[in-house]
Amino acid sequence: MSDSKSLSRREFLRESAAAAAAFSVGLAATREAFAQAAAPATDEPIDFAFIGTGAQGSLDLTKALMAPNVRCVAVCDIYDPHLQNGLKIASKVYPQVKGYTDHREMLDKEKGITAVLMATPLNTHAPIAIDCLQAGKHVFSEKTMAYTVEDCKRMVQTARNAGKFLQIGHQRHYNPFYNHALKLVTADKALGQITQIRALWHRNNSWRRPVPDPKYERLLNWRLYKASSQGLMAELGSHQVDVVNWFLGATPTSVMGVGGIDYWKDGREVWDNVSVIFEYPNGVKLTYTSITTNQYDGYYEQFMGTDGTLIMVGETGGKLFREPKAGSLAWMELAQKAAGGGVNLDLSHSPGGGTGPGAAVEGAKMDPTFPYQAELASFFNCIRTNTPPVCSGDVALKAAVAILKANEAIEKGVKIELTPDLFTA
Amino acid sequence: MEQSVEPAVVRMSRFAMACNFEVLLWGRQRDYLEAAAQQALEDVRVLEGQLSAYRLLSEVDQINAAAASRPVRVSPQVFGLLEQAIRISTETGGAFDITVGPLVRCWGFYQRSGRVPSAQEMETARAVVGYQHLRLHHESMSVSFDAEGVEINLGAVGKGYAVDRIVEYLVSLGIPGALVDAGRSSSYALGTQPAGEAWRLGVEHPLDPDRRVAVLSVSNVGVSNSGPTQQFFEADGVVYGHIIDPRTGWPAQGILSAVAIAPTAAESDALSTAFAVMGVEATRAYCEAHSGVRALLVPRPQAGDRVAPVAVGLNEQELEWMVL
Repeated sequence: MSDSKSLSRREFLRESAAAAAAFSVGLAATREAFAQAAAPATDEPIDFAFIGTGAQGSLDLTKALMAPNVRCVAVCDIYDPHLQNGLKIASKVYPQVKGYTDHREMLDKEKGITAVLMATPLNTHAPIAIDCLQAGKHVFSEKTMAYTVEDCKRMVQTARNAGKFLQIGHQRHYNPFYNHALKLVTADKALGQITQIRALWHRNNSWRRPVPDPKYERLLNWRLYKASSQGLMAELGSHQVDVVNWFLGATPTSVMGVGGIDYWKDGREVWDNVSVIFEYPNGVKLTYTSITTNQYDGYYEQFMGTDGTLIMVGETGGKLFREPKAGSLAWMELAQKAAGGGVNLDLSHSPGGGTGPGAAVEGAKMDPTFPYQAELASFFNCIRTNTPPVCSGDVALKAAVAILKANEAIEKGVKIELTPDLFTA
Repeated sequence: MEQSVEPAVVRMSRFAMACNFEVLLWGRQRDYLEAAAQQALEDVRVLEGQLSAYRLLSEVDQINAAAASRPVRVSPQVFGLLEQAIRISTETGGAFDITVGPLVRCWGFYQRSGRVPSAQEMETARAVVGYQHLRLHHESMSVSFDAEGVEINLGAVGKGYAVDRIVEYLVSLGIPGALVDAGRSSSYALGTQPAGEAWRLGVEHPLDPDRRVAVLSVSNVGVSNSGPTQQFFEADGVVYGHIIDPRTGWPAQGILSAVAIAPTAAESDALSTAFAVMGVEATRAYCEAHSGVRALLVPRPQAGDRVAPVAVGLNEQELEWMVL
């Protein structure tokens, strides 16, 4: 019952209204917007199919079914337990949902579907997405976009030629915290000039999925093998490099790094740790690490500027520290007053010695899975309103190219220059 | 990967839903079991997101924010859980009720500062408490409230539900035996211990946590425990516990500890709360009408008396009394 210390919903709304510019306010507005959008739709339902209902796919399918007026009419997976799981979820909404093991057969038989959502191993993103786009379906695919730069570009080009939308699952674009933080960085210039960025994703586990029968090892643990995976940079790093690209409005100009299989020597083929440096225009550097042997740091993106530091932690909150010379922003003082005896806005001094009067503003606890609901609701809304997706193939391509080139730099042990043409299709 | 003769046993835990989730499982290969436990506990994070009333933009938060004005679409999983909760409310005559929040608040238990509410406060809260205020719309898989001020909280069933999902996952991986619990108040005993015996669950003495009133030997059932002895306050010589009877608006008084055994942990979770409210006779009637449901109740003794636990529907193999 430690939850009992939390504010009630109404108290929260009152407090967040007072702290007009604090992170939390975006959440109440987002919730209201969702409630409005969830009103019964009057138009035709959107029928979709889902390919790949493993762990992430099941979550995506669940969240997709929360969008107003959509039906999952077909589920496809080559692994029967995952297929059955997908059917179980989808049939609660649409009992007639059909199961397939071959996505081409599904596309042949399910002519009526408008969209395909997919969460499959990385090496299959491009071939399956391209089949679906060519069959005239809008496509949502989980990240990272694709296994090679060429694959990514073919996906974008195919979508363009087919006149269909392609959205990639970098869900931070739909996260109210990130959108609010972006406003602080760009419109409010709360960090001054950004000079340095640190991002990381640190875990302490094998990254292995349990495999009931060894013959399914490469299928279920596809993340660990080179033929199907681009490793930590793709599965974790791409999300964070994407955020940096997004916040800076730029793509990297060079990359170098190191990696190795140094601890989990269990037959895996992808590095269990990577350390990478990206250069961005105007001398901005991004240092990135992902490790599997220590989880103290968790995962975050930290933007460091001449006037302040922004840390986005675990996708559900953030902190903003002002440098002593920059002083507080007006809204920080408002937030400080509004915090009162509540706990939604925790104000604290900088953990470091170098930051004086600056305050940190931390957001309230948000459901970390909400952004998946938001990105999928948005995908269907794009189809309904014929509006291009926010995290389109063009956007996701930039993150994918950056991490694929990082892997290439690690592999070759060289610094690779990245020209702008690499990032467009 | 070699196969050892001795079964491997793995125990792993993770903090979620304001308590410690723990998985104890056994099987042939340690690395397989570790990967299974790791993944199972990771999935609890997703469930917490869906179910917590305190996570902004969780499904429950979205429901509470808008369901009085319009139907709110929810996931198939949450919709199923709401159906289950309403079914248990109906079957327990409203002793279990996910809309009880306003009453818990007016007694000060959410704020951790218990107090007897005024008649006016009680009346206001009672007007919006009652599962009859919930409307489930199957067609659109949405939920609405029939009055402003209604709210739901899955605190008395969500942990059990999460335990069930963990168990379901472990079963899908062929795990032969596991003991899964959330904060030691909701659990599921899957299969048996490595040597084939049933899992043994101690039932804490409600007034002396260092002692047990009984040990249950169980297999393939959910077992949960509720009681008012951890959270309570005293006013004018009366002790008020945090379990509120949704039907009267007053804290339930007769039971110090209620253990429910049911086919799933979600059911046992909800029923342990209901039994703490219903008392011995109504619990007995419920268990007789529902096969697979058993109970162990510790009624509040008269001043000076020892506690005298009551078993309902439990057989000799399942129940071992401790000397009190």
